[in-house]
Amino acid sequence: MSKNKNILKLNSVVVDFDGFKAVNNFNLKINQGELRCLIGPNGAGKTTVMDIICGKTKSTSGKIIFDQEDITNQEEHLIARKGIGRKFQIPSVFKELTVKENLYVALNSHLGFFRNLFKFFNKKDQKKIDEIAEFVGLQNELDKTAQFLSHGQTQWLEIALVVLKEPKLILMDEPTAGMTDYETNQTATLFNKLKKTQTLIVVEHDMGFVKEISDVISVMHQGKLLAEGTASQIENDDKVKEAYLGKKGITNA
Amino acid sequence: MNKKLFKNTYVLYGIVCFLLFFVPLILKDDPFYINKSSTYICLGLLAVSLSISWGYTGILNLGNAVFFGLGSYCMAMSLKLKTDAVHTGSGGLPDFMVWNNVEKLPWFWEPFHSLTFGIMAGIFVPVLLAIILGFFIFRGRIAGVYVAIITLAVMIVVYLLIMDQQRFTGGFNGITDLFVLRMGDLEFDAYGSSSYYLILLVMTVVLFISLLITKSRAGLIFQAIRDDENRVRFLGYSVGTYKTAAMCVSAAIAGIAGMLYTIVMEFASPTFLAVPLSLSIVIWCAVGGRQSLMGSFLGAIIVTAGQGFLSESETFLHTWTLVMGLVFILSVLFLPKGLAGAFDKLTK
Amino acid sequence: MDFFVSQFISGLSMTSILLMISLGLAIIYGTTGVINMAHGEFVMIGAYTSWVLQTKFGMGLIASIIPIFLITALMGYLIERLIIRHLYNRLLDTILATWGIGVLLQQIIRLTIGSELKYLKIPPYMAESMNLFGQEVSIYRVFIFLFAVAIFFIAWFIIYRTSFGMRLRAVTQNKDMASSFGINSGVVYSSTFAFGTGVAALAGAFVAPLKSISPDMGTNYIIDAFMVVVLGGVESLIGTAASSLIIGESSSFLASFSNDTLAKALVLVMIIVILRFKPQGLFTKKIRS
Repeated sequence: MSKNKNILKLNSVVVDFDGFKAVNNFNLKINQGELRCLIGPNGAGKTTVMDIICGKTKSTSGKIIFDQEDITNQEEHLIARKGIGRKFQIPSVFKELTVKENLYVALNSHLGFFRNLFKFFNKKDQKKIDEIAEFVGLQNELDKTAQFLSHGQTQWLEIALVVLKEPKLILMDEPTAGMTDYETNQTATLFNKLKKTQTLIVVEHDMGFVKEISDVISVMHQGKLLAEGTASQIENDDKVKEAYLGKKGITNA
Repeated sequence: MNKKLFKNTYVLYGIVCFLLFFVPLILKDDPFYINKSSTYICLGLLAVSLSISWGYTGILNLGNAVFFGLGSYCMAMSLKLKTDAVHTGSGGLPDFMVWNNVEKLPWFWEPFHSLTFGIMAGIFVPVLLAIILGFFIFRGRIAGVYVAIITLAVMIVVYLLIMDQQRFTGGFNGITDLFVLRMGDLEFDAYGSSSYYLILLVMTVVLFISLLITKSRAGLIFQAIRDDENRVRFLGYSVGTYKTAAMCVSAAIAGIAGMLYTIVMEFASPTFLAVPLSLSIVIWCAVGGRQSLMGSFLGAIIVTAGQGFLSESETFLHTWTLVMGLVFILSVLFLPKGLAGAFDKLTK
Repeated sequence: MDFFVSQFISGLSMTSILLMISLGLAIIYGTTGVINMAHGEFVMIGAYTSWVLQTKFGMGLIASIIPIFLITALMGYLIERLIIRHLYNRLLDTILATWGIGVLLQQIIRLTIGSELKYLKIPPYMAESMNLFGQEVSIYRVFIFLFAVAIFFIAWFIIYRTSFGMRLRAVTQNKDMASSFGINSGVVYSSTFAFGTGVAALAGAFVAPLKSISPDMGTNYIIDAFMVVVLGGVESLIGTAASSLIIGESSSFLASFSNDTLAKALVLVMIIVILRFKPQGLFTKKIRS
């Protein structure tokens, strides 16, 4: 997979909420196959950046270019169809459906109402579902109703839902929030697996996790890009130290 | 969705339909009770329609009765035009039009001379309204609360229009004195078991089709929308389209129920699309279990049959409604899945 | 010119009644997020309480204002404590629960007082008409208008100029944050409910002599009140007042051209269309999601 091809570009994006600039002239370039971590203090604008890429929030100005196509301010489901998947901060899965049913909804097949009216569960679907369930470690929970999964399992289920659509770019918002150490380790393994076939942007606070998975880290502060580089470069950047990490460095955050 | 359960639901529904087959025999063909039973089944179907939009898709349609009412008026219009001159007026105009000095049959009444058209209209008019509503409401991303109020308001608008345009709709009195339904050689007397079996047959077909819909992938997507519509959106589905589709399915079922209702009630009235009925549908689904088609169906039957039982005394009737209100509140508080939910928990 | 003045004045009469009914609903919905479908029934309870006080106890309308308010406010308070309190985490279900409460209230009235229509007379000292800007206007309707304006200012004063009001606004904006500052949201919610239902009851008491009193009279008002609230947005009382004015005036205006029924239908359609394009109402500020 060519690591040089640019897959996502944000040009001078501004998101203005009634005078408050959550995102202020933000620029970002992501190449295909990267795992980019987006970090920054609370309120830096990280989630808002995710929101405008996938279409949840509309930007005030600026351009978002995905795979050479301008997707600025398009509707969410159209952006999703172009190949962008989003995993939310608060796990959003279908609580009253079983894990298997959740995955069935997310299968990468027809989206139209009439096609799906005549579509019923079959063996081929079962096979795909078994595969993805194993990938995220939920193969034993297929018949469990989603609301009874543990927090970590819910996060993995949501990751499975996103991955099933085979998106080119996956946006992950704080995937390890609320996870135990064990679950966080499992997630890191999962991400390293995903890294091989997908481009990922991960918003995170857990620095240990970030160090384990990322290639490049982008640091945001007050809606702007503060610094960009590898973990060690970020650690040694004065601006970052001042704004965010304190004097003891990245491992202490 | 494991295979055993899959089979079980169909079997369960089949058993209920089969048992209902014996009702006229149990009632010893008593015309009054057979007629009542027929009406209960129609209302049960109406509850099923709300179950699809509310229970499965999460759309709280407080004006669902509007689809029911429109369906019943379509059937009434066709049956009215078949009535003999004695019940109509000069020149074959419906009597109420003659009383209101209408000279000529309005253009939108003309096609109803054909019973086939009437039946098609009974389904398509509600569905058309559902499409318009869906396009309007769901494209605009209106939140659940406002959807509830807007659907209620729409029903009231239709109600007011029907009341106002007395010359064409019979207004307050509705469309009465209908000819008996005749299809080929069969005559369906509202008080006979022929109507009952017709209604039972239609109900069974509609119920099974509805069940199939809920088991299809589209039906699952409906439920996903209920649980988290944003997640559905981010999986690439056009949520507005699916919600509109759910409303259309509801509208079709309600329209059919309305047509059957007109056959057994022998009239169509604005009360068929008024607030008390719409509220009742919500109560039936809440009590019986809105996430289950059969639950909603049985909820409607239990509540309306209970009401019918007590309709002799006005005091009893009011007390029954009072008790129903209380049961409703309690079920909202403690049994959000209704009796069907409780049944599910017990059988697990 | 004459026509417009008379139109405007008769529209104001409708506006003031609408305002009194919607004010309570707006405050309840704005603060607690609860859709009180029983609000119309509280209007009805106010009318019946007025009837009971006047026919059984011989009290006059003005004298019964405070008792009516207190009795209904107490009912509202109890209902909030016993039932609504359990549903704050599932607000959509409050529509259902309150609808059920409305049914209960209607049935209780039917079983105790009875379903036949009851009538009340306008207090004799207000039954005449007076001359206002060249129009003959019923003094009673002027009274209702003035009372509605007074209630509006009382509500405004409480919410924006008292410490209780400040707590109420804090709870409205962020209940959890407010709680962490020691504000008892439970007290705020029940007081809001009590106040809102009390004002609705007064509206019912005032409207009673203008039409008849029946157990289902509330149903008519609930839709109107909701339209005012959703059109006006829940951010401000001014929004409620403004939309009452808009809806009151347009209803009255349209009714003069056709009839009440058609006017109502048209107003509803108008609001549905507006809501489609401005779902938060006409008077809300853009908020950060």
